Amino acid sequence: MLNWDWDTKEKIICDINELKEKFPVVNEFVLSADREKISILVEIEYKKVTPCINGKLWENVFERVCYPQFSQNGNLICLVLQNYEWTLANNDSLIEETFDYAWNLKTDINGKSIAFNIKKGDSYGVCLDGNVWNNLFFDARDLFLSPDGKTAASYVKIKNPPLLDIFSSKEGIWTVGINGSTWDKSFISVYGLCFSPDSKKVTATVRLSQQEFTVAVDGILWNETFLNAWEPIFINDNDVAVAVKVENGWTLAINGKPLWKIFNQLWHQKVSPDGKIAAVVSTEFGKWTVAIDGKPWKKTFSQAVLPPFFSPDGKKVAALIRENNLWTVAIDGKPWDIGFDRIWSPQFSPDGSHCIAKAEKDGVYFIVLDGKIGKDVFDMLWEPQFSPDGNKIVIGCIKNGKYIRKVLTLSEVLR
Amino acid sequence: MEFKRKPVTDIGIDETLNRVDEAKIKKAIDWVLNKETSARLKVFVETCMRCGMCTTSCHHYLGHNNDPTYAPAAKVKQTIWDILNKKGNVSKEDIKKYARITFTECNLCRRCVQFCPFGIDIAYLIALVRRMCCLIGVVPQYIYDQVLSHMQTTNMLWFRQDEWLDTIQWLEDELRAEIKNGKIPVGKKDAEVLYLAHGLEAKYMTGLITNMAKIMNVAKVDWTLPDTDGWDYTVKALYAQDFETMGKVIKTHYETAFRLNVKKIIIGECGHAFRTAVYEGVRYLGWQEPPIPYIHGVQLFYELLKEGKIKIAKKIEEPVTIQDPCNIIRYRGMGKMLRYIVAQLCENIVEMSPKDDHNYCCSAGGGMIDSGPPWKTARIEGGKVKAEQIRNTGAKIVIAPCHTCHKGIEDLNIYYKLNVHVKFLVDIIAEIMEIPEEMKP
Repeated sequence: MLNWDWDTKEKIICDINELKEKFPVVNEFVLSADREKISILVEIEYKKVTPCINGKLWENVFERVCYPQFSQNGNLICLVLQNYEWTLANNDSLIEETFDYAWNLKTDINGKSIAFNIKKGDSYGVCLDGNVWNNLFFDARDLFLSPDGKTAASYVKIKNPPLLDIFSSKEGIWTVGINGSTWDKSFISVYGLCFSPDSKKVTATVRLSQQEFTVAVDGILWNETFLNAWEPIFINDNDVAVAVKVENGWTLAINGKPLWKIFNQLWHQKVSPDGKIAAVVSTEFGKWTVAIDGKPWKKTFSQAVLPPFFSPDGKKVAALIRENNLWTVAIDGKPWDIGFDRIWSPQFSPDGSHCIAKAEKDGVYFIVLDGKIGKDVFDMLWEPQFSPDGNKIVIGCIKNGKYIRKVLTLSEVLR
Repeated sequence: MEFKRKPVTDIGIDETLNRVDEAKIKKAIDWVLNKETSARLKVFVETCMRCGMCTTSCHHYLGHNNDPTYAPAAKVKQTIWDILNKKGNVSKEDIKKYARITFTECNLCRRCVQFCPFGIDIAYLIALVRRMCCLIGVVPQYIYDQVLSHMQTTNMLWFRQDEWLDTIQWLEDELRAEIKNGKIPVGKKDAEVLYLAHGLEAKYMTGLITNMAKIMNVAKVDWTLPDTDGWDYTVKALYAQDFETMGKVIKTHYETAFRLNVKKIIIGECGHAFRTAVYEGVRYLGWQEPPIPYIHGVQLFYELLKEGKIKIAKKIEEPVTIQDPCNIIRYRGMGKMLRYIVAQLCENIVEMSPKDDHNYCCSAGGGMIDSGPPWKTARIEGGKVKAEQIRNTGAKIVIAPCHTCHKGIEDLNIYYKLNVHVKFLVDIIAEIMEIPEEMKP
C-alpha cells in the first residue's frame, strides 16, 4: 500500500465499451488491490475464454475460467479448463499438473502461496503450490490456508458408508485434513475451521451427537460439550472463543468455559488488536446488536446485524445493520442517519477517525464517508481504500463505459 | 377405537429402538416438555373439547375409510396426550407407535386447524412428538439419511462441491442451445438476486435449473447461484424436527446471501423450504422475520408476468387444475398470486373443490414422501381424497408449484390412474414464453 500511486488523480485504465463491441461475452470484472489493474473475462467465441487485463488478452485461451483473482503481488490467478482438464493459470502460465476438477482457489495474505481443492479420479484433496496432498479422500469440502501460507486444510470424508447406512454415518465420517494428514477422530459434522495467527494450530467445531457439540484444537476435544455451537476463532495463538448454546440460551465460551451472560443468540465473535472481543448478539427475540466483552450496545436493530469489526487501534467497533428494509453502518452503537438499498463492508481510516463505504440506492453507486453521501455517482464502484496516512482514498469505478482509477482527498469525496 | 395397522419395517425407527434404553427415551421427553415447550402446549391440551370438528378435515381419516384413529384429535390423543398421561414413562413400543403416527400419518398441513373452533395448532402438537423422537434418534431412515447429509454438506443428497459446480457448468452449455450467450452465474458477487435450487434439481431434475436460467436470462434478472455449500434450499431437518441442523442450514443460506451482497434470495417451487426459511428456521435463530427478503418461485413469476418482463407466446388450451401447496398457500396466502400466474398461462382452468387455503394436502408433504418406500402405501392411501379431487376436475394437467406435491401427485396419478400430467410453473413458462429474436441462437 505504501508503494501505491497516491498522487495521480485519475487514470483511465480500460475502455470496457470497446471490449463489449469486440467480444460477444464480457463479464467477471476483478480488480487488483491497488486498483491499477482490472481483469475481465472475455469470450472470443464459444468455449474460447481468456482474461483480459487492462485491455490486453492472455495468449492462452480456455474452455472455462473460474475464480479469477489478483494475488497480493499483483498476479492474476485462476482455475482453467483446457482440453477437458482443469489446472491453475498464474499470469498466463499453466502449472504442469492437471485435475479432473479444481475449485475453491485461495492465496495467503502475502500472495506467495496458492491452494485449491482438487479431484483426481474418485479421490479428493488439495493442491498447495503445485503439490497434491499425498493422501486423498472420499470427499474434501472447503479450503483454508494458514496465515503463513505453508499449511492447507479441508474438511475430509474418511469413511464412505453406502447410501442410507445411517448408523455408520452417525458414528462420524468427517474430520479435518491438514496437508494430507487427518485428525485421529471423526465426527457427524465438523465446521468453522480456523488457523491460529502463528499458523501452528487449527481449531474447528465438531458435532458428536444430536445435542452434543464441542470444539477441537489440533484434534483434541474440549472436555465440555454444549447443546449447539457456531464457528470458533483463535483470540491469540493459544486461546479459542466460540458461541455455544447452553440450557437457557447462547453465550461465549473461551477454552470450554462459558464466560458471557446469556443471550437469545450470539455469533460472529471478533477480536481486537488489544484483545477485546465483539460479537453479534440477539438480546431478545427479534432484537439484534453488538456486544463488546459481553456488554451489548444499548441500541438494537430488528432485521440484521452483520459481523462486527474493529478500527485499527481497536477503539471503535462498526457493523452493517438492517432496519426498516434499509442497510446502514452503526459505529459504537450509533447508526448513520441515512439508509441504503445495499452497503458494502466499510473501512476505518488508519487512525480510526473516519469510516468510508460503498453504497447503492435506486440503482446507482456512491461513496459514503462518515455517514455523508459523496458527490459522485457511478455505474459501478469497488470498495474505497484509505491511504496509509488516512488523508486520501483510492477507488476503482466505471463511468461512461470506462474503468477509471481515482485518488481523492477526503474533502474531494464530499465536495 | 382400536389402533390397527399393517406392519411396516423401518430401521430408522425399529433398529434405533433396539439400540437405545428407556432412560434415553425419558430424558428426551423430559427435555422437550421442560425446556422446549411453554404455555402454548398447556393451552392447546387443556382447550381441546374433543368436539371432533377436525375429524373430517383430515385426508388421512377420509382416505382410510373414516377410521377414527386417523382423526387429528385422535392422533393427538394417541401421542402427546398419552405421553403426558404417562408422565413421560413410555415404552419403546409406545415410541414406535408415536413415530408411526407423527411421521407417516400427519403431513403437518394444518388443514384441521381451520376447523378447530379454538384454533388449536394440531400440527404443532404432532411436531412436538417428532422432536422427542428425533432426540431419541428415532426418525424414518430415508429422512434421517438426508438430515445426516445436511449436517455436513448442507445439501440433502451428499452432493460434493465439484459435482454442484460441474453440473451448473454443463447446464450452462445446454442453455446456450436455447439462449444466445446465456449465462448461469455462480458465486457472482453483488448480483441482485441469489437463487437457490432444490437438491434433486442438481442431480435428477436438472431441466428445472435450465428452465429457470432461461427465464432469468430472458427477464434480464441480475442473478447468481452460490459457488459454495448453501446452494440447496431444502431443509429436511424440519421433518425430523432436528432444530440444530435446521438452524445451521438456514444460517448458511442467509450468510451466503450476505457474503455475496445480494438484495434478496429467490427459491424455486418448494413448500417446506420456504416455510423453514421464513418461519421455523429464522425464528430458531432469533430473527423475527427473514433478515432480507426470501422470495418463493410463485412470487417471482407473479412479479415477472405482472411487470411484463416475460411474455407468453401461446397459452395452454388443455384443461388444467391447480394444486395449492400447504406451506405457501394455507401458511402464507399466495393463492391469488398463483391463480393470476395460471390465468396468464392457461386458457381453461378447472378448480379443485375445495380450493385455495381449504384445498386438501397432497399427502406427500411434511416428510411423508421423504420417509421413503416403506411408507409409500400410507401416503397413497392418504392421497385418495386428492386423487378424487383431481379426477372430478377432468383436467389433463395438474399444476403443482411444490416439489413434494409434484412427486406425491405423480405417484397418485399412477396408482389411481388419473391420466394427468403434473407440471411445475417453471416448466410451463419456459416452454410457452416469448424468446426475443436477439436472444435466439
